[in-house]
Amino acid sequence: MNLQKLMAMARNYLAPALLFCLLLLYIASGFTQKGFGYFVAVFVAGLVYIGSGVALYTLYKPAEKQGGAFRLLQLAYWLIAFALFCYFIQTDYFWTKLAGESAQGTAERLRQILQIIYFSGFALVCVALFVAMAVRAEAREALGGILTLGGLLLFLVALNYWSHIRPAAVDMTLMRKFSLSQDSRELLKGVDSQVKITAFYPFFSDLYRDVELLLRDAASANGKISYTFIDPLREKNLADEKKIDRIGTILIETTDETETDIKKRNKSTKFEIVDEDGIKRLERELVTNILQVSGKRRNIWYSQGHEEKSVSGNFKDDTIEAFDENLRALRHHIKQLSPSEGYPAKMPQADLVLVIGPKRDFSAAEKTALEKYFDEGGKLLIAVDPESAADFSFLLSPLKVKYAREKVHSDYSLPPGKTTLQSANYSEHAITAPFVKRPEERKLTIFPGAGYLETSNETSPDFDVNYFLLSHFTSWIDKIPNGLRDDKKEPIASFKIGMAVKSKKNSGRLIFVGDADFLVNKFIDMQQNKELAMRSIGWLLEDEKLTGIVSGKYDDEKVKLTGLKDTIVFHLFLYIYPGLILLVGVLVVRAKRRRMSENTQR
Amino acid sequence: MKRNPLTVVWQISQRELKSYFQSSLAYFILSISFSLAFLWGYAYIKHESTSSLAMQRIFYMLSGTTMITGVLISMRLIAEEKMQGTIELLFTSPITESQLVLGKFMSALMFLGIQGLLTLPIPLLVVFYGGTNLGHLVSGFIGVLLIGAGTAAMGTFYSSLTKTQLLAALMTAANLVFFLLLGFFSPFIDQPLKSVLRELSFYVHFMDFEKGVISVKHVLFYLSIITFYLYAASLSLSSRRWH
Repeated sequence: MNLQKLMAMARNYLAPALLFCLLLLYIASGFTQKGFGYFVAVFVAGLVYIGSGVALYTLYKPAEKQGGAFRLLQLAYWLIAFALFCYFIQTDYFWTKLAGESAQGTAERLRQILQIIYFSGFALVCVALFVAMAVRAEAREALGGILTLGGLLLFLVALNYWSHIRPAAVDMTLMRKFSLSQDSRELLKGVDSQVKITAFYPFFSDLYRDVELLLRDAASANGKISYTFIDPLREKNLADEKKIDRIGTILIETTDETETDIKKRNKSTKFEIVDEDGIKRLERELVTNILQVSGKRRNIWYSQGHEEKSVSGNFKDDTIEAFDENLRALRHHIKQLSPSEGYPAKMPQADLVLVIGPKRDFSAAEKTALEKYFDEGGKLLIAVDPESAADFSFLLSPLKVKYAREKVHSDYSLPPGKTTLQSANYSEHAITAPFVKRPEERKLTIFPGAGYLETSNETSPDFDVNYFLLSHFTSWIDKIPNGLRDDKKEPIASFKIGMAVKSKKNSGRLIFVGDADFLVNKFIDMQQNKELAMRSIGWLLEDEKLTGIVSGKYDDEKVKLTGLKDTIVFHLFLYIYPGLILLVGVLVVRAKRRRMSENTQR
Repeated sequence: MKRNPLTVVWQISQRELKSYFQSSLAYFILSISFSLAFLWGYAYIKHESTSSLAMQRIFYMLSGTTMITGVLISMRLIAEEKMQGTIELLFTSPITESQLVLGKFMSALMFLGIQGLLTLPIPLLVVFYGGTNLGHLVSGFIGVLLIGAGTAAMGTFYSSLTKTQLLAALMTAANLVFFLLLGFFSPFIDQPLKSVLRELSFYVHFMDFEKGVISVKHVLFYLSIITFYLYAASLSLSSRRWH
C-alpha cells in the first residue's frame, strides 16, 4: 500500500473515527467512578481525537478545504471540543468552586443550559458526521446505501436511548414549576440506596405528565432513583401486586442493605397527588418520603419523670399521641426515657431530646447533664408552660434570655382577649419559611396560655438566636389580673414566644417555646401547629434543606381578557389579521401575473 | 468550478420558498390555518382555568395545524419535480441528491417557521393577559417547529418515492397517524413493548414542550426522525443509479 492510498483511506475514515471517539466519550461519561475503564476510554478517545485532528488539517489540499465535506468535518471536530468544554464546566465540582455550597438559582440554570449545550453539541456532531458520510454513500451501490441507513438507524436508536437514561431538561415555566429546587436536588443527591418510585396514574390522566416531569428531575438528580408508571385501570394485576387501588398514589420503595432483619429490609411509603393543587406539594412530599425510606434513622428520646406530656393517658386531648405518631412516621428510633431507665446518663446517645411540658423541676444532676449535652453539640426541644415549676434558666441565662412566666393575652385570640394565642408573626427562619411567604396569607399557629421570652440588650457571642415565633401585635400582658386590657398599664406589643438557637462552636441546637400545649392532641391538628412541630424537628435534626422546601411555589391565574379588549382581539384576529395575509397574497400574485404578461407582450 | 454544497442547499431552499409565496396557495394555507388556530385558541383562552393550561392547549392545537401544513407543503417538494420531469434536469446540474433533499426540506422548514411566527399572537395573548412567561412560549414554539420539521422530513421522503402529490400526502399522513397512534395504543400493551411504542410516539415527545419544558431527549427524537427520513429520501433519489 503506497502513501497515497493510505492517505485516501485515512480521509475516508475520518468521520467514522470521530464517531468512534464520540462513542468512547459517551461511554466514559457513563462511568460513575473514575477507575481503570474510565481512564482507558478517555485515553483512547483522546488519541483518536488528536489523530483525527492531525489527519483533518494535513490530508486535505487547500482547494478541498473549501468543500462541504471538509467544513462539516471541521465543524464536527470543534463542536466535540466545545461540547466537552461545556461538559466539564457544568459539573458540580466546578459550580461548587465558583459559587460555593449555595450555588442556586441562576447558577443552576446556567449549569442546566451548559448540560443541554453539551448534549445538543454531540447530537449536532453526529448529524454533521452522518451528512458528511452520506455524501460519499451516494456514489456507492445499493447494499452500501442500505447498510449505511441501517447503521444510521442503530446509531439514532442508541443516541435516543442514551438521552432517555440520562435525562436533561430546561424548565422554561414561570417559577420552574416542573423542576425540583436546588435544595431538593442536593438532598436527593445524598441518597445512597436504590429508590424505586411507582406512580399509579392512567396514561391519559392530566396529572401523568406533570408528575412524570418532577419524577424525571428527581431521577436525574441521583442515578439511584428510578421511576415507573402503572395504570391501575389497565394494569390491575400490577397494581394489586403493590396493593394499590387508588389512582394518584405514589409508592416509594427501597432496600436497606445494612438491616440484618430480612423482614425489615424492604421499606416503603406512599402518598397521594390527586389534583392540580396536589402538584404544588408534590416536590415536598416526594423528597420527604424518599428521605424517610432511605435516610439514616436517628435516636429521638422523650424526657420523662417530671410529669411531662405523655404519649398515652386517660385524657387523650392532653397527650402528645398524634405528635408521636407523626414522629414515628419519620422512621426514627423513638423512645421515652425516665430517670429509672438511665436518664439523663444515657442522653449522649440521643440525636434529639424532647422535653415537652414538664411540671416538676429537674434535679441538679439532670440539669448539669442537659447543659453538658447541649454544650457538647446535642439537640433539644423544650416546650414549657408558664405555670410549670421546671426552671430552665441554666440553659437560657448563657443566651441572655429569661422566660417570663406571665401568660400573653391577645385581642387576636380565641376568643378575643384570652390567652389562646393565634400567632401570625414569624421571623425569617428555616422553620417558618413557608409561613412568611406572603403577609396576606400568613399561616396561623395556636399557643394556648403561652408565656414569653424577655431579652436583654446583650447577646451571647457563642450562639445564633432567632426568635422565630412571635405573638400577634395586639398582644398584651394582664398585669392587672382582670382579663381586660388597660390601655395605659398594659400596652399592646408583639411578644417573643419561641426561639431557635444554634451554637457557633459545635452542632448544638435548641428550640425553646413558652408553651407545651401546642403539641397536644387537642391543638396539634389546629391551623399549622403540626407543620410547625414537624419543621422544628427537621431543623433540630439538621434537615434544613428539607424544611426549606416550600410547597406551592407558584400561582397560576386565568387569562383576563374581558370587555373592549376582548372584542377588539376577537375581531382583529378572526377577520382582519387573516384577511391581511390574504390581501398580501392577492397583491403578490397579481404583481407576478402583471410582470409575466408584460414579459409576454415584450 | 465546484460550488460550496451549503450554498447550493441555501439556493435551492430560497428558490423553493419563493415559489411558495408566488402562488396564492401559501397565503390561503397561512390565513385559514391562522383563523382556525385562533378560534380554537380563543376558546382555550376563555375557558381554561389557568393561563399555563390555556398555553398548553394552544400549543397542542398549533402542533396539529403545523403537522397538517407540514403534510400539505412537503407533498409537492420532489413529487412535483418528478411529475414535471424537471428532476432529471436538476440531476444534470452539479447538484447532489443530498443537497436537493436538504434544500427542499429547508424551504418547507422555513415556511413552517413563517407560519409559526404568524400564529405567535395567539400564545402572546396568554403572555400579556394571563401572566405566563415568555419561556413557556419559546418552549412551545420550539416544539411546534420540531414536530413540523419531523412531518416535513417524513413528507420529503414520501414525496421522493412517487410522482403523485396526493399519494405522497396520503402516505405521509398515514405514517404520521401511525406514529401518533403508537402513543395512544401503548397503554393497552404490556411492558416492555409499551415503553418502546410510547417512545416512538410523535405526540408523546411534544408533551413536554407544550408544558414549557425543553428536554434533550425530545429534541433528539425529532432530530433523529428528521435525519433518518432525509437520509432515506436522499438514498431513494440516488437509487435511480443502482442498476
